[in-house]
Amino acid sequence: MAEPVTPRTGVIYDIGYQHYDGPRLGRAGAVRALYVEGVRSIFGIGRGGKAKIPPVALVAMMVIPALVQSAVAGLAGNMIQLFSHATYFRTTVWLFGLFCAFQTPELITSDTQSRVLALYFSRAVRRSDYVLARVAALATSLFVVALLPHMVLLAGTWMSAVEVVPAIQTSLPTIPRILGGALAIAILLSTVSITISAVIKRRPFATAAILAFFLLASAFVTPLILQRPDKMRYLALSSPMIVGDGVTTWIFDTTSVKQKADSIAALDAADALARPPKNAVDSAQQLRRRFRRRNRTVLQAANLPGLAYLGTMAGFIVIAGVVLTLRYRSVET
Amino acid sequence: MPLLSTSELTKRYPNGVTALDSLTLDLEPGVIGLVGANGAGKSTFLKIMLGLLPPTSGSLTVLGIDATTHGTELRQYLGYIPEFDCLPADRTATDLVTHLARVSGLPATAARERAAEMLRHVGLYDERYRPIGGYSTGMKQRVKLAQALVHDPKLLLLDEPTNGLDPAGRTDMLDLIKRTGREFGISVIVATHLLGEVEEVCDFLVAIDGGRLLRAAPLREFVQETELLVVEILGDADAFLTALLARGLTARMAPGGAIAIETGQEAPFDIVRDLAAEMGAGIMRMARRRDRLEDLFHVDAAVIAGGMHG
Repeated sequence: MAEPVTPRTGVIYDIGYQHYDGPRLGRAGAVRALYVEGVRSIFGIGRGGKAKIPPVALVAMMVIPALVQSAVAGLAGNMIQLFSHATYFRTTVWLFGLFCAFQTPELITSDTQSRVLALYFSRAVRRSDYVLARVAALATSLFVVALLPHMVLLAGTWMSAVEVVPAIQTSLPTIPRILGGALAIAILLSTVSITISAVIKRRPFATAAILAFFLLASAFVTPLILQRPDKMRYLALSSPMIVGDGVTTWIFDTTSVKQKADSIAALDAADALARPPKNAVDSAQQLRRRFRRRNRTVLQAANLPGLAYLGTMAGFIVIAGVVLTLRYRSVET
Repeated sequence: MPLLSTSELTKRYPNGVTALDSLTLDLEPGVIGLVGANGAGKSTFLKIMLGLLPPTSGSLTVLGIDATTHGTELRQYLGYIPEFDCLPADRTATDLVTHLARVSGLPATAARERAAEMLRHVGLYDERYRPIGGYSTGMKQRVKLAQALVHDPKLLLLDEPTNGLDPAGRTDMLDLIKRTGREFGISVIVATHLLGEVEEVCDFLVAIDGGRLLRAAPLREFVQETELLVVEILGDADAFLTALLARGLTARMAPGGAIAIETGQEAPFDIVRDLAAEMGAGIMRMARRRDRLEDLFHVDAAVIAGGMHG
């Protein structure tokens, strides 16, 4: 029966077109593919070396303050707090701004510009699937980026502690707050910057617009709020960065923001009462008060409750959702 | 099961333009040409087939699936090549086609294998590892075809696939389309305004104009009717035409001052020769022609205002 098998080597057969009858993962597979590819493009994975420089450099810079703090803690003990969990977002806010401004157009605007969206949408993918996959990709990336320095801080604290176990136990309640804060920042910044990138057709303009909205806007409103907190306080809600700061501060310490702000407001009131008529010589006490007033943060000056920031954040996300839905409905295929 | 079936399909845009007007049509699997001038409604029709554009009224089923309500499900079985450039310049062909295979729902390994296979099929070898930005139009068009085939669709929709290609690239592309239909067993709908191309690859034609169905028939029926003898004469062409008509021939003026005579079983060479001798007119050129589907549309010149070259 069996014919002798003649070994044939070095022959290439044109087996023609092969139909595919393997598994198909449907929409879930599509969303996963868009998500994974999104994360890869944000960090420049699988792209040229040049694409990796901005994200890696920004992440490195974000960790530097945490490393400094850890080094200081290692040398001088945990009493010296240069950078803490609660204020870390405020310290690195401009790095987050740059990260969003450079990496979101990479993720979103390049799809619009190359019109590859037509190839996505002609597949078994809904437009909302695409948007959700991309938002999820940026949000996870930002979440990880926001989390990294906190992990360095924690490690620094634990390693420089005299007794490690109690130190870990002390910092345990902070961990859910770190996660919550990073999650809030990730969701807020990703939805807003993706919306801006989706609306603007060209990449450099998208980058400029994100920088303007994230960094210039807060730089513009901050002095206004500090000078006239009574009238300008609600301007704090116009900047996503101040809102993000407000939400994280609220997450880390629900009471103290309001209390500290209230005590400063009381000081202000006292200051106003105590202020002598015009041209009077400032007393040493008044100078001290002025100094204290000058050194307070935007959050303290605005003196808004944490829930106001949380509500505004929800508002930003809802607006982003509406704009994104309208935007992608009109994409030509 | 018919490939596609529509009933009274109408699409009116908010700005008042009627892109499709009560289109009723049944198509069997095969390579189908969708012909019409620019703006005749071809692209709109394709987008409704993909379930990406809701029709104003009427129904459309593709592969037995209702395109108006089950678009997402239907698109699993479709491959689509848009008319415009849609490839990111900074990605390699392998990278992009693999990614798009995964977006089509293929698992990672299968996606890689199918992408490599399809790129080889369309004739991209070492180039596929280079960024698409450096490709020629012909190579880009091949990548577009590869991405449309990578998930093994049942129906391929092509919108002006030879746009911007040089003659050699055009021949290659048409050859690939023909092979897709004949060898791969995948049905193809080619939307184009270039009738000559349709004739090379299609076995069925659907002609639309102003959103209305002009005609849907197998290609050979179109061709039989356009069996022509084209005569160019030196002298009074109008008088010559009148004399031809008087001899009982069906003839008309063709573009460029030539006279097109419809031929029956035998070509009326003798009549033309005798008439030319009688009238003292010189015959510049006399040729049999069975191409130029355009002629078919020129018959209905009033219907196709603007012509087929748009």
